[in-house]
Amino acid sequence: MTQSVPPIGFAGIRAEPQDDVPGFNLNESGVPRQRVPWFDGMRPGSATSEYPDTLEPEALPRDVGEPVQVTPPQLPEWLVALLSMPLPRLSTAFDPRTSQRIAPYAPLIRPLSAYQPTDQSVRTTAGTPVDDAGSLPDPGSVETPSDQVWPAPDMPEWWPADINPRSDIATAQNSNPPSSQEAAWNAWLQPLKEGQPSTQVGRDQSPGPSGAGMVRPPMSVPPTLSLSPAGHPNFLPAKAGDADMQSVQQPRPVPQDQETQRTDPATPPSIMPGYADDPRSNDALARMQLSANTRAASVPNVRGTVIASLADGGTFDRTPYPAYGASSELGTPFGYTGQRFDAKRGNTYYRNNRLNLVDLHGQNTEGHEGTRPSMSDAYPEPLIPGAQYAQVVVQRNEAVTGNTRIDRTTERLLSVLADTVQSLGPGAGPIFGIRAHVEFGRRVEELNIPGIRDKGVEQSFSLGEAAQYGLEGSVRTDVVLRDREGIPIAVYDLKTGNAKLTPSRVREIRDALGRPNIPVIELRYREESAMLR
Amino acid sequence: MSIKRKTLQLIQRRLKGTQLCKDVLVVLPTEHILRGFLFERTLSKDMYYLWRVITPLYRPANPVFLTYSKRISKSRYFQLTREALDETAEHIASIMSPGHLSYLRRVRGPKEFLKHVGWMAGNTMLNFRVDLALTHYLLGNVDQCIKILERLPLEDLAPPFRAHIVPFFTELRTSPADAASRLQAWERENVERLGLAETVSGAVQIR
Repeated sequence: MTQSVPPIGFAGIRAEPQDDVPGFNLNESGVPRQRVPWFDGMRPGSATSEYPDTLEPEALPRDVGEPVQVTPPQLPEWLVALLSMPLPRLSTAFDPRTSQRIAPYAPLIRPLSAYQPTDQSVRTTAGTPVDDAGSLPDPGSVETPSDQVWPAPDMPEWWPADINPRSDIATAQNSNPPSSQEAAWNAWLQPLKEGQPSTQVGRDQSPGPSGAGMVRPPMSVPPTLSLSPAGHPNFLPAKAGDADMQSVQQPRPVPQDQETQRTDPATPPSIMPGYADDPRSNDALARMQLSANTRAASVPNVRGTVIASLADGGTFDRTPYPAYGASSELGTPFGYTGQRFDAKRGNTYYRNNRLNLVDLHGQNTEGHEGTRPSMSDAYPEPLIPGAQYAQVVVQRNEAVTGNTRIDRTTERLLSVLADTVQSLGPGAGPIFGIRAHVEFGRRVEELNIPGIRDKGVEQSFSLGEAAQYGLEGSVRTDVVLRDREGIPIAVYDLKTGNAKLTPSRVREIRDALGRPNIPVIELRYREESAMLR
Repeated sequence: MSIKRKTLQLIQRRLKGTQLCKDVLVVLPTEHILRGFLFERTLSKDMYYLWRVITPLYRPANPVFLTYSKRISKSRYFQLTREALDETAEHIASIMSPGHLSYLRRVRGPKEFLKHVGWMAGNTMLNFRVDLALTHYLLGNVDQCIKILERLPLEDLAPPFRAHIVPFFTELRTSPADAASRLQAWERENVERLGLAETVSGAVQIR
């Protein structure tokens, strides 16, 4: 099965080459371009990339490369080819020093294929209507952007005067973007392979990630394809269809907020070109060279939950988000999961990349340089010597058993433990220990984790049976994981102090459960780690 | 009177067909299976779990094991305090009835108990297999009972159970009448210990 390509891009707006609208298929010399098969096996305009797992990519039309019939008027062949040329994604970010568009991954930029933005009544030469209606946004729901928002200086000089590419491009805006963070994460970009043909996108073969980060877009690429809404280009809007979304194609100053406040507009931040492969919250912003005390970066924990803010002066403040980010009055536009909320528009901008979760098998993937292309071509993120980075506690799972059910549960419990630590903070003593156990148990119960559910938390055992708390000879466990038949397969014991699970206690637990070899896993509050005992 | 017992007493007045026996609100009548509700303490002061209890009485030394029971206060505790106890009892009674109470009324004897634990069919825990064997025995499936017990490493049972089950298994093959008497004795002891005498319908008969 050919792997379809999830939508690249930013801000949840998918620009799409116009299969059936002529005029885009010219190379840099203005010669009609021979169409080539798409490297991902998808026909331009296929809607499969929006839901890559649910729809099969369609086969290439037999008439690719032939001019399409458009009546009336009949356009010249070169114009038909030009307009049918796939259009690459463009960055919405501009280098404030050079006023050039920042395109850090120029060789790999390629057209998006989320939606076919054209009128469905347009037919191919074979007379077969393009059947993408099921995934098309309602044309009426998307407005055509006005000329005001399209930067005239970026228009190709050779562009025919009677062609306004913007009118159709605007329909590429996705009127039904993912409405949840999960949806945004699911739109994960497939890694591009080296050597992938770039001829479709009219890009030169400039260096890859290690090369110069800023590449001026080729002349054949209409810059008006940048359909990014206002805000950080790393974010996808959770609420599309907003009228304001139509007027944000041009990069403009980010709203004044905690993260991007600039005290002196005359001294814009210098943005180092590079390649972002790190989806952590706002690292690029954190590395912008701003004046002191003008911005702070949100610091997520391993689950992406914002736990603190890091000012450029190095001040590290814990963010008092309650469980599940219930509070919205924290004086920051960044929500519990680090997504920016634009109060003016009512949009929540989801990041266009997944969380960089720590490998809970004991390996921290932070700092790992993946092979994926940059997910943020607006703020490339090179490592800057001397820059301050947030310190996030890394959870350690040293209790890998090889049993998938147990190991997966251990990872989940470690995440719950991290939330508990975040909620309660550090502490000591028996009272704090009880508080930590109660809070941890409550969170575990709420998650209704398979194998734990209602009877796996604070359950006492005696003689291999579940028993009431306080029964003579019984042992109360913190968490017990069962298999599908109800057999206990792992026991978790939370330790908040310096005390460790002793061998004798482990034996007691095993005897009470009637399982002499059951893994007993110690969850250590202070270290946020799991140890197999 | 403990707060648990006081609350259950108030609930008993609201739920017909129940009787408070020690710390368990028992669903009437009792026929080899204890069915009812009880509160279990938690780590937090005044906070309790509420259990829907189902446990067989025809096994040795059962102090109300909760293996076949269910916590119905999922992901929340019940706060029991002297203040506003009536309202609390009213609220809890509304949770118990009709859903959980109806279910308990259906799990009346060993046959229904087998259905109740049907989802645990693949469970290889020794205690569960013993309970399964004894349930089959009560239902008259003596061969099935022997078959199950034969496959069990009875020496691995916890000592208190082993002291009862091994002789029972021996008698089952050599002197079935003694085995029946032994099982009947276990049930009587449990009924007496848990104060269930008033809830038992007729004499406990072993087939």
